[in-house]
Amino acid sequence: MKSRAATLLGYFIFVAVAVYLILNNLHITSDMSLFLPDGASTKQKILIQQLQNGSDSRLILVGIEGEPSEEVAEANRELANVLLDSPYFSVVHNGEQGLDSPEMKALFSNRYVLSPQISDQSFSREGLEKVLHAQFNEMATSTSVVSKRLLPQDPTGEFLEVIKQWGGVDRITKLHGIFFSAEHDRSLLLLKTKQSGTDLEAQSKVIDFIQYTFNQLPYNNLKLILSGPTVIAINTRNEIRSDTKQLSIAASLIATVFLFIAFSSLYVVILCAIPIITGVIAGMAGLALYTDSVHGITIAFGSTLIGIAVDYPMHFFSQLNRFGTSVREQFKKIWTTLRLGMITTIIGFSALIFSDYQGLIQIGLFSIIGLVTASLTAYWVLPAMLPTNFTLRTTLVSLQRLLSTIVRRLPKLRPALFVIVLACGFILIYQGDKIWQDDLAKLSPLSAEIKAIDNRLRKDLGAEFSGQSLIVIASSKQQALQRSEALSRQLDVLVSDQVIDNYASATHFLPSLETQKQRQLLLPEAQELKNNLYSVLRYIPFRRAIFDPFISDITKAKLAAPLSEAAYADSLIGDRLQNMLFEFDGHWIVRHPLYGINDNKLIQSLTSESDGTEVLYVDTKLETGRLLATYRDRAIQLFLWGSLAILFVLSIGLRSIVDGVIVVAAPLSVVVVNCVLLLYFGPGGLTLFHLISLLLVVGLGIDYALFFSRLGKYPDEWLTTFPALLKSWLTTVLVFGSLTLSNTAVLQTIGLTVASGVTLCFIFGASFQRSTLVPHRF
Amino acid sequence: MSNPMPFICYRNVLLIVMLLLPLQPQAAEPFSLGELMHQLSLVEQSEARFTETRTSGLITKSIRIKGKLSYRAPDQLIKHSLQPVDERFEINGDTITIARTVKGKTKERKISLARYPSLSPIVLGLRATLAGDIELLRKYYTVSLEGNQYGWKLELIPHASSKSSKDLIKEIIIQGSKSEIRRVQINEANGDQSVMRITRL
Repeated sequence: MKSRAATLLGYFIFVAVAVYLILNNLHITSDMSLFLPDGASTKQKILIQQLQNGSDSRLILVGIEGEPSEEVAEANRELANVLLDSPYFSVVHNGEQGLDSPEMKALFSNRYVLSPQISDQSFSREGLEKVLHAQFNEMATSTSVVSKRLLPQDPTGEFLEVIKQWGGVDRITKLHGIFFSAEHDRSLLLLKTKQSGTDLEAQSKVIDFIQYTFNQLPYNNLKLILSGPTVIAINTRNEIRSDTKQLSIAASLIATVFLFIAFSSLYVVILCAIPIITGVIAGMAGLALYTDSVHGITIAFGSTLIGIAVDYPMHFFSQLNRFGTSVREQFKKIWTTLRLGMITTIIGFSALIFSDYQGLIQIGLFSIIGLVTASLTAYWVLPAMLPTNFTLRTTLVSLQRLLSTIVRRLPKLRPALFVIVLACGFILIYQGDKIWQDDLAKLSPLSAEIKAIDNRLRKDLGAEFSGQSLIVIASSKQQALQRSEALSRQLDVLVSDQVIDNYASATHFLPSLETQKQRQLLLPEAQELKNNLYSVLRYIPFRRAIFDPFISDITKAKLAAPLSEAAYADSLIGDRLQNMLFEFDGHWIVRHPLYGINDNKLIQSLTSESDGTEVLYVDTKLETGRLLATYRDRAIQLFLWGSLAILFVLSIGLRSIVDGVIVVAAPLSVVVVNCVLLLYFGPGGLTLFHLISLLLVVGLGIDYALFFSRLGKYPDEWLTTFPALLKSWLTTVLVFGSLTLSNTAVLQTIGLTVASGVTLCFIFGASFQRSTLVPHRF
Repeated sequence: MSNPMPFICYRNVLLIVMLLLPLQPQAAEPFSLGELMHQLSLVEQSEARFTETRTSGLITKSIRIKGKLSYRAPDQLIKHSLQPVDERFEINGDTITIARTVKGKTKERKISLARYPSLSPIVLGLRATLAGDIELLRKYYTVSLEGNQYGWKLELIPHASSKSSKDLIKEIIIQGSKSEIRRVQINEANGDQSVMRITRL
């Protein structure tokens, strides 16, 4: 009595402390840099930073679909008006504003410092004569109605040059004065919220407001689509939430029902959950002591691995069929075998701790602590929660009978299974690297629909992500900008030689201070300009007075303070500028996205390193692929070392190397066969998620193999041990099988891998036995 | 004795009336917009010479443009200016092709009408008039007609709703006779003006 009370008290204190630690010290983050190796190069770090903050998270892309296009345009205009009047947005851009949009205004008012074509001849008498002569001829053409609008302020046409350089909004199709997709089936609207994108709740309200406003419009057959970093994040979060909620309810229900049938005692069913839950809490507390920020993925994967702890209660409870012996006594019988299984699994997981990736280390730590806690909880605490002489009825007799018959015959399959394993092994070796899925895009948890909408809208708006860029790294902002200007000149040559279609550069919007000064120097004084201008106007019949705005603009530009990012604050350019020019890790980075590359080698030749500045070429897809491949290779290395260590420990525990080999053989064979099965029946390509799931499979496989070999040695334990194995297997298959119903690719993957793997473990574990299994004859 | 006078007067009056009858002018046919549009729509193709005079607040002298016009129903119109600039402005459906020739070298640009809404009203206005498409015309303009089939005057005022056109164009006045357009005057909102005189070939 006393010891039980003491045990329970100890347990609750332990849990309380753990929860306290978690709540106070642990902070869940989504910082992907945790999955970077500790010695990552600057290039790799920038890459991850770009992946995370690919674009300003305040951007919302809106599309309105339907027919006819006039109605779609009208709906767009009305929506834009309401949104402009609301307090949520700093930018509402649908193309209507034309030259009045913030981007155009900023580019126009700074044209003299941005234009690349200004020379010392631009404002001389000869220069002005040439330009004004052309302008006069332009008045006689068909487009004069448009071109003469800017004539009084910008006769030398600098604004046009600046726009050409940008190539931005100009690329978007327009219909009825509004942005439209190229096929004219969708009108577009660009929004930038005042609220920062990291506050998902606030962003969620804004998105609801947009939807509500749209629904209030009097158009019945038009559809609204939204995308953008926060929209995607919120949609993904909601999908995962509802998916997870549905699945957890389904899985829990299935598991509970099955366990109830298996144990016919609701109390026992509840007790089954306790070791795992305690394990997860302990694991998180352990992490809380080790670090202060944990990635959500760590918890997810870690919890998956702790799924091995599902076994322990099964085995323990299956022992409870002898009336008269205390629960504790009965647990003790199989404790040695279970402990051996636990230790080998822990060794397997500890391979993760020896990697040099923070993320993997955390997963390893989490699962080890969790597993140890789970098994100890099952061994010590569960008996304290049961009455001393608790027994359970035998259940599932017909199922046991059926499967016993099958299991008895399994060893006969051994030769066939060997062949299968060898064949699968050959297939894997033959396929080599092709078995891996390296495309990061395919790994993302985004649903296909969300991705499709985002791609469509981005393409319409000419805002596609460019996978390839040249990156300038320098120690100061001005150094970076100057190097960028030199690089831009080289890239201009590449564009005219058609080596690349286009590129973007921060210096098109923000020239270096040096360049700005040079351009200002080239601008004439007011008097000199007037003299040149008026002397030319004697022969070209423009009215003098109309050029007053031109003269005052030049004068202003000559004396203006240097241009900074502030000029673009509330425009789309400000947006782009943020991810083309930024400070990182003590350096200043200028990123030049490249579009339509026709010759990679020539681009590579532009990379350089000289006096403190570096120019790097980054191919996002290639780099992330490489990063993933590095992980994988490391993971496989660790896996192999882990297997050897496991073999070692098993041999000691079982006091026989041969036994050790046999026990290890089953799970390893399962891994090989499972991989091949997944390749051909799964969504194609093995990923990190598969590997982690396989760790779980191996853990369970060792468990099954150990217990089957125990059955070989002590056949009289059939009635207690076999049901345990059965229940463990069925519970795992049911729970992870229900994951395959998820809409998230990641969960589907894990579910499929574990469910199929565990089944194979059962088959292989039973057949790869030294002594024949003699099942109880029912 | 019977009175012979009234009989003779009555016959004379009748004679006079009968003589005068053919000399009465034809009753002016009711000339409606529909009539005019119908007449215009019958024209399959036409070629003409034009002289355009542009005046603007920006310049001290007016600009004179000379060239050729060519029309093919229902939506192909070519304006080829020869002086002072060699420019061929072709409208084909919704595509505009502008070809400028300077010193023997020709540079061509294609624009879709949808992209430059500011050009639409003028272009579509002319096209619709030539094709006699009253619906298209009314889509962008308030239309009023004066005169008769020998000398008519169409006045087109852009709708207030089409924002970009109202900014630029105040009104377009087209004058012609029967199915021949003789004069097109475009008054811009800023006071600039273009007057084109057309002679059919």
